[in-house]
Amino acid sequence: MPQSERKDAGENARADRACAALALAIALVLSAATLAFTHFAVTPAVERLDLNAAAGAQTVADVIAEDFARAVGLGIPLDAMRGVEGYVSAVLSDDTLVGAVGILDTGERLLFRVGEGGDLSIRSPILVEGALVGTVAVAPRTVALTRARNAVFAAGLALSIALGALCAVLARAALLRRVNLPLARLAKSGDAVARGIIASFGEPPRASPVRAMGEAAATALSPVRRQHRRLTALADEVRALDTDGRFRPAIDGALESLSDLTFDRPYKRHLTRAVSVLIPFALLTAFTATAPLVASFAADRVAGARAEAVAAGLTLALYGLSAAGGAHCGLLLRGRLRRPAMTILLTLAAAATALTYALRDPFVFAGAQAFTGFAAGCLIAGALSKEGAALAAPFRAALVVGGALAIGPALGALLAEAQGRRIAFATIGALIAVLAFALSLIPQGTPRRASLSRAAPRPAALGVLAFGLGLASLLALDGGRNSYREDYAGLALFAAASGGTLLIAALLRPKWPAAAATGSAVLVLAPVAFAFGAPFGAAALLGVGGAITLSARAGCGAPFILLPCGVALAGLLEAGSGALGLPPLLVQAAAILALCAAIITLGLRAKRAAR
Amino acid sequence: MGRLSLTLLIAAVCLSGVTLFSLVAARTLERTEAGLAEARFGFVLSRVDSAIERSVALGFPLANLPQADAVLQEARVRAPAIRAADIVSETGVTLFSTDRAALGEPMPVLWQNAIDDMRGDVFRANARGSVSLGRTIENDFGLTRGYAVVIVERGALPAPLSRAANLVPAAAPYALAAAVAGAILAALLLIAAARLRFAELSTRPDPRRPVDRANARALATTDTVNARLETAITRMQELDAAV
Repeated sequence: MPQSERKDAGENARADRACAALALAIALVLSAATLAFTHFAVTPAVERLDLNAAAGAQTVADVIAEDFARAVGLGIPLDAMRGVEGYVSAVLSDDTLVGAVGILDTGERLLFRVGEGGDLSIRSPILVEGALVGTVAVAPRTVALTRARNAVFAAGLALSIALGALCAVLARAALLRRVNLPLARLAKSGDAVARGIIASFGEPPRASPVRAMGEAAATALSPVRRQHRRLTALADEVRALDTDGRFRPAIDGALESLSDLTFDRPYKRHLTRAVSVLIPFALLTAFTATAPLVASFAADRVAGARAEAVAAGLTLALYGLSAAGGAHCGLLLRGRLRRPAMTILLTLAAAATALTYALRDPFVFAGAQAFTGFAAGCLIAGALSKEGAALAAPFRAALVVGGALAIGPALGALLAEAQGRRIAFATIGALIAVLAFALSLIPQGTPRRASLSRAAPRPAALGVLAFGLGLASLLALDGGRNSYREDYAGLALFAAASGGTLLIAALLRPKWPAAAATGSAVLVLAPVAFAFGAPFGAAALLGVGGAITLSARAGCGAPFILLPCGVALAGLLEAGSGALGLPPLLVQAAAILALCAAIITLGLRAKRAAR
Repeated sequence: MGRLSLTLLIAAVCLSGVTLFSLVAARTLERTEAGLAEARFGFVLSRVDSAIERSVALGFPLANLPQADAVLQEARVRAPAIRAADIVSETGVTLFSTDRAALGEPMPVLWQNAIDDMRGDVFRANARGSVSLGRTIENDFGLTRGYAVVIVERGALPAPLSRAANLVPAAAPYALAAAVAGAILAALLLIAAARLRFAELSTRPDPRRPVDRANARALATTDTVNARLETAITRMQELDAAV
C-alpha cells in the first residue's frame, strides 16, 4: 500500500477506534441500566406471576382429585388403583402448568408419583362423601417463569448491544461528514487545481474542523479567479472595439496560451449529508430485521419435523438467492435507478413484508420473501454504490454489514418477543415504508461511475460465503436444531452479540495475515461452540471470523452478493439434510470446513505460484 | 451534525433504549401471564374434550351424549372466568351449551375462521370482550366429530400494555441515568477525537497526508497560473492600447 494511502487509512482508523470505544461504552451503560431495572423492578413482577402459576396448578390438582374421588367412590382402594401412571401422564402431556403429580394417602405416604422435579407444594384433597381418603399434590411448572426471566435478561443485553452499535454508526456517520469526507474532497479539489481546474471549491460543512482549511484554500484561489475575470473583461472590451476584426488573431493568441486551464467548470458537489448513507443503512437494518423470523414463520405453516426443515430451508434459500440477484442488479445499475422506480420497488417490498401479517400459505410467504430479498439487495447495493470509491472507503462493507447485523435482527427478534411474529412483520413493513418515503425526499445525486467492485479474490469470496453460511445456520436456522423455537429474546441476543462483535472487530481493522483463511478458521469453530452449548461463544467467533474475512478486501460490493449466497447455501443444506434425515448443524459445519479447506488450498497454490 | 447534536442524539438513543426495554419487559410479562391463564383454561377445555371423546368412543352419537351438559357445567364451575362452554357439531351447529340461547345456532364466523387456520387440534378466536378456546373432538380413527369450545371473559387475560403503565414510569430514573452517562461518554470521546484532529490539522501539515500534499501542489500551481494570467493581461492591455 502506498504511504499516502496508509496515512489516509490511519486517519479513518482513528475515527473508527473512537466509534468502537463509543459502541462499547454505550453498550456497557445500557447493560448496567437494564440490568438494574430488571433486578429492582422486573424480577419482583415475575415473582408475583408465581401466584398465577399456582392458581393454574391448583385447578389441575382439583380435577385429578375429583377423578380419583370418583374411582374410590366406585370401590377401588386408592393404594390398589391400576393405570394411575398412564392417566396422570396423559394429564401432564396436555398441560403446561404442572411438572409432577403425587398421590398421597391419609397418612401422607406417597403412593404414586409421575413426572420429575419440583416441590409437590399445591394440594387438593380426595374427598369421598365428605371423608378424606387421600391427597393429590402437584409441583407447579416454573418453565414459563424461568423463560420470562431469561427473556427479559436477554432482551436487555440484546438491546444494549444493538443500541451501542447504532450509536457507533451514528457517530461514524457524523465523523465521516465532518472530517473524513471533507478531507477527501479537499484533497481531490487540490489535485484538480494542480491539474489546472481553477474552479470554486465545495466548502466543508459549517461544523467541520476542516472548514478553516477549506476556507483558506478558497481564499488562496480567489485572486487567481479575480485576475481571470479581469482578463475576460479586457478581452471582451478589445473585441468590442476591434470592429473590423484586425486584432482577433492576436486576442485569440493571448487567450490560447491559457487554454489548458479551466475556470468555469463548477466543482461537482456530492451528496455530503449523512442521511444519504444513513437512510440506506437504516433500510438494510430494517430488511435484516426479518431474518430471525423467516425460518420459524415458514416452518409454522407446515406439520412434521422434516417438512418444517424443508420449508424453512427452502424459504431461506429463496430469500438469499433473490437478495444476491438483487444486489448484483443493484451494483450493475450503479445507483442509476431513478427515484420513482426506487420508491415503487421499496413500497412494494414494504407491502410484501407488512402483509405477511395476514399470510397463511407457505408458498405465498416464500414468494413474498423472494420479492423482498430482491428489492432489498437491489436497493441497498445500488444506494451504497453511489457515493464513489474513495468517498465510500470509510463506509466499508464490513462496517455497513456489521452495523446492520448488530441492530436489525436483534430489533426484529425483540419485536417478535414483545408483540408476536406477525405484528413484527407488519411493524417492519411499516418502517420500510416510512424509510422509503424519507429516501424519496433526499435529492438524487448524479449517478457516478461504478465504484463498488463486484470482483473478489477467490479466498476472500469463499470466506464471505462461509461467514454468510455460518450466520444463517446459527442465527436464522437456530443451529439446525429443527425446532425453530420461538425464543426470540435469545435469538436477539445471539444476533446482537455476533453483529456487535463483527462491527467492533471491523472498526478495529484486523490486519492479520491471510485474513480470509484466518477468518474461515475462526468461523469453523463457531458451529462447534454452538453444538457444545456455548451460543455466545459461537456468536463472538462468528463476529470475529466475519470481520477478519471481510477485512480481506473482498471488493466493497462483493459481500452484498456473497453474504446472501451464504444464506442461500445454509437454507439449501438445511432443506437437504432435513429431507434426508441428517443432522443439519453437522452438515453446515462440514460445508464451512470444506470452504475453509478450499481457502487454504487456494492460498497455498497462490504462494507456490508466487515463488 | 455537530458535536452537540450528536451528543444529544446519543442521549436520546440511551433514553429511548431503556424505555423500549421496559416496554419489551412489560409485554414479556403480559404474554407470560396470559400464557399461564390460557394454559389453565386450556387444561379445563382438555378435560371437557377427553370426557366427550371417551363417550364418543363408547359409541354414543355426539348429538345425544348423556353427560355432555354435566361436563360443560363442571367446566364452568372449575373456572369462573369461563363465560360459556359449548359442544359444536362437525357441521358447525351448537349441540350443547351452558348458554341455552346458543343451542341449535350456527357457530360464529370467527370460530370457523380460527378452525380453518388451526394448526394441530387447538384453535383460538378473539372477539370483543371474550376469547374462545377450542379443541377438536375426534373419534378412535382420528376423524373430527365436532368441537369443544370454552368462551373466556377477556378480563381474565391481561390486556395489552396493562403492565406498561407500571413498568414504564418505573424505568424513568434508569433511562435518565443512562441518557446522562451516554451523553457524557459521547461528548468526551467525540471532543477528544475532534480536538486531536483539529490540532493536528492546524499546526502540523504533513507532506505524507493526501490533503496536505494536494494543497501544496495546488498552491504551487496557483502561483504559476497567476504569472501566466499576468502575462496575458499585459498583452491584452497592449492590444487595448493599439486598438
